[in-house]
Amino acid sequence: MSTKPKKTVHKKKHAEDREPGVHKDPVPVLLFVITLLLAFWGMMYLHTNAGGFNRYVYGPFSSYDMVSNVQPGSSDDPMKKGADIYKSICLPCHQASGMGAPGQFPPLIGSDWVNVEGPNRMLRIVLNGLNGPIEVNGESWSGAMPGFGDLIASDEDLAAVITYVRNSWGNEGSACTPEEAAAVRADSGDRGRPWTGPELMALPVEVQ
Amino acid sequence: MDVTQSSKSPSDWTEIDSSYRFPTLFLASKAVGWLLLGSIFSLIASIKMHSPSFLASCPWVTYGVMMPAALNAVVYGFALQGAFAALLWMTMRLGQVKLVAPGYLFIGSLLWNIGVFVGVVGIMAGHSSGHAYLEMPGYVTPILFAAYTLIGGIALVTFHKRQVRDLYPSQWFIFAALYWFPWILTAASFLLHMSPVRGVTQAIIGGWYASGLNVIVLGFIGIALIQYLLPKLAKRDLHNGYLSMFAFWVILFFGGFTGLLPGQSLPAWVGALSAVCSVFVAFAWLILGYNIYRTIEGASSKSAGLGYKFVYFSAVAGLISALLTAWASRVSIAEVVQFTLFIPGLKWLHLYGFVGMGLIGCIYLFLPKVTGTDWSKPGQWTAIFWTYAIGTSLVTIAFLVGGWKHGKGLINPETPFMDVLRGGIAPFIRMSTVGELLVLVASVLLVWNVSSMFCRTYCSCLCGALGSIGKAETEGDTKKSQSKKSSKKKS
Amino acid sequence: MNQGPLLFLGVLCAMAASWMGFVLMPQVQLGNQSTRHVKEIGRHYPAERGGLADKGHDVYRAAGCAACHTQQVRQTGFNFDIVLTDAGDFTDLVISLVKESNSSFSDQQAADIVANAPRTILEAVNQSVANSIVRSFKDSGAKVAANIRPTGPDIDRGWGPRQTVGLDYLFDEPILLGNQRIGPDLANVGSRLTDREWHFLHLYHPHTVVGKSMMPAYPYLFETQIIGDDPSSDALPLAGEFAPEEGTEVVPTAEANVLVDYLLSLRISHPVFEAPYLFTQAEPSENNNSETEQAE
Repeated sequence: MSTKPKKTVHKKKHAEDREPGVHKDPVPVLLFVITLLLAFWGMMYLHTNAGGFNRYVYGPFSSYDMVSNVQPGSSDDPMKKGADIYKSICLPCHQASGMGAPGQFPPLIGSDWVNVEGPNRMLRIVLNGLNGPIEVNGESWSGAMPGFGDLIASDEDLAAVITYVRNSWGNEGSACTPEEAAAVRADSGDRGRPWTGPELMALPVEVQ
Repeated sequence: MDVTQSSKSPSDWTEIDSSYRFPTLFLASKAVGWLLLGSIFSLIASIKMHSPSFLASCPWVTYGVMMPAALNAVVYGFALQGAFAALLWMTMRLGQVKLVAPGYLFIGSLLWNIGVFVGVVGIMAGHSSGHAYLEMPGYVTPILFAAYTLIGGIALVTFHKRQVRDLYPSQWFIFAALYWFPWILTAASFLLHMSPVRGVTQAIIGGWYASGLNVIVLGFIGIALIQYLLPKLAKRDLHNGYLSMFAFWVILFFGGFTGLLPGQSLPAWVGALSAVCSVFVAFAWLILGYNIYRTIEGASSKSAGLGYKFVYFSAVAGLISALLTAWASRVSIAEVVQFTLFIPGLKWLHLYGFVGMGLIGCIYLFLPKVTGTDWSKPGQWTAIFWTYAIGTSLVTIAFLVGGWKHGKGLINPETPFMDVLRGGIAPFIRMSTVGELLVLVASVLLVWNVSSMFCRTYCSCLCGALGSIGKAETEGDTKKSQSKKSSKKKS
Repeated sequence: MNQGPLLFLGVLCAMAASWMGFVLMPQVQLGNQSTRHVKEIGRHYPAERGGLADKGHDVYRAAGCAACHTQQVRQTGFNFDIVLTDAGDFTDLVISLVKESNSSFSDQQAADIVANAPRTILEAVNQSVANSIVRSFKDSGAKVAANIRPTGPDIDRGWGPRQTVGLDYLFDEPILLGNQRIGPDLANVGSRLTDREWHFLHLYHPHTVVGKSMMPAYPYLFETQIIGDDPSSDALPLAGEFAPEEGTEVVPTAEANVLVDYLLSLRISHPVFEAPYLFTQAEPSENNNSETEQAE
């Protein structure tokens, strides 16, 4: 083949039943330009329409925050309030998954301290703290948890975080009411020192 | 730069061609048989749409059973088997290599047909799995997989043993399709049938499988055919191999993600990703189309023959299908066309118009080569082309336009649902039934022609073998004696 | 250059990318979804379908109902209703703010609203308007809520109060979303068409209850039996051209029964996190009359 003009024209004909060959001319630069522009368009499209690749974002919402902000009456929902409190206070030790850390912080997910009929023992632990050893799901844990009775001052907030833990990660416990929280706070609020495992096990699970 | 070209003379092809004769003849004849059965089922389903009492009392032929049975018969029975034959022929010609282990290939084809038969009967018996394009019950997948191991394995070994080491672009597409199919089949079958995933994840994986099957497995064979046959019939060389390379890599990476429209009960990112990938695939198709256009520019279709018409139709259908898929994935358009007849319209355009037409053209061109005999009634092939082309176009246009009307009616909440159907789309459904009838006629003619070639090839061989024991060359037809000689050489 | 291995590597990479994108990532994101506590109904959702309805799901699959019916409600947009929930102490200020938000109110109407809160101030406004109104009330001591309302043709048609999301299909196996609407959507049909007998008649022959229906009949789901001493309580009230022979009656088979159980179990009657809306107790289940036309 001779030197290439701008528009290469390959019109050589060949014999019957001959398999075609392939010309390999340089590719026009325009192809790369268009490809780059298309890639840019693609990324912008995904930025606006893909909802941040978040599993909770369905069209026409465009981000998780948007979905989260338009939940009706969300400030009154104990699960949402409880989730916010958990995130700021409990998550550093017990983790977002509720799994805790081996040897240090016991799991809340599937825990036999959480999945009982009433929140009495849980309320006391959160208000005053807990000094180990205790048994959780057959495993022994010996550590110390501080109390948060002063930090979670309102009964609504306390009930909300207990409700959240009792209903997350597959835990199927009942909700905790602010009245129950108030009753337990009145009963043990001025205790001043953490609970121990045997002391709590001597108490009933239901709030009296 | 260099143009790779075959240096072998045509007379050398006989030995290579005849090694493919029986297996590919078997594959092709079974493929057109499944097309016929699929067309019958599809026609029954189409008639039920405007005469619901047609065959209503039998649970084996309800609309909801006929639709998947037709789809699976056409995809697995016709399209995939035809694709196997087509890719074997292309490997034969582009690699200049005899078929390795034709006996095992035959066993594989037999198993494949058994699998599809059991699957289609299973769907009719009520064991449909419920996943689009994978409705055949889970117990069929091992049979198909075993059959494919033989067929695909032998195709790959044959490819490996090729004489011409440089690859023509079609061969990249074939290679990718050969590896893609068993992967998606096993993954989808495992995650949907054997150890099903939860909830909507099934829908996403089902969509992944369907688009992999349509765009990459069948689509790549279709692209391989048009890239090979159009230049060959126009007696030209491919305009620019690098453009084909670009199209290959783009469609390979993005093709598996198309097909999941936005707005379904799936997280937003699924539809958005699918839409972006459909646009990339459409762009790659434009490049491919441009490349082929520059190759065949100025060639006269009259001198190229009927086969050229088949493949040209196929190429145009493929291009329009890719462009329409990209267009339909825009959120505002998807809102209208989703859940309407538009989607089956796209399926018809891709499966019947692009892949189907290409495969039929390939059968038309290659069976005479491998058997050494010509079609006894070439006039019937013109009839096949026109009935199939008009039928497919009628169905496609009826579904695309009717689907658009259907969608426009659905998104207007004031329009009662019954009016959307009865008034709006009923005439289009009738039009599609006429189209499906034409496709049925085409498939009847196809079965007739391919079977008669099968009979002529093997009856003549048999007669010749018997005749050679007693008498000498009294047959007289040189072509017949050539095929006798080559079959003797084989045995 | 030996192109074979390079080609193989490229195909392998493409397969891996494709698998990671549409198999692995969805499985990671959605595959481990579990039931979720929904405060509006006070329990975990979704509940596992009962045994009969599960069998009905199987009948639905085998008959191929998904070929014509979808089970997905779409949402194409949303707007907000602004509700004054608590008027607070600064009545005059709040009245003026209410009038500012909705200029069509007279002084008397605005005062009425403030006196009788909670009351709706504005309906169906877009997000930016809603945000600005909520902001304007911020320091007034009153509380306003912007309640989201999903919009879209499916929702306006009465096919569901919200769009369907992944959580709704948690226990479906196989998932039968459907992709054609030759028939209406069924995601919420259990709330919309609650009469068992209507479903039986419709399955036996759709024209008994919907004159212009394109749906085929399913007579094989029913049995025609000779009337015993008393007519069976399950017998379908067929008349005219659909009535069976003298002395016989049509009763549903077990398959028809479980199928109807399944259809009646299809409900999406409360919000979820991904598809929020303001839930009102005891939502009326409207019989959508555009679907149930009397036979001629």
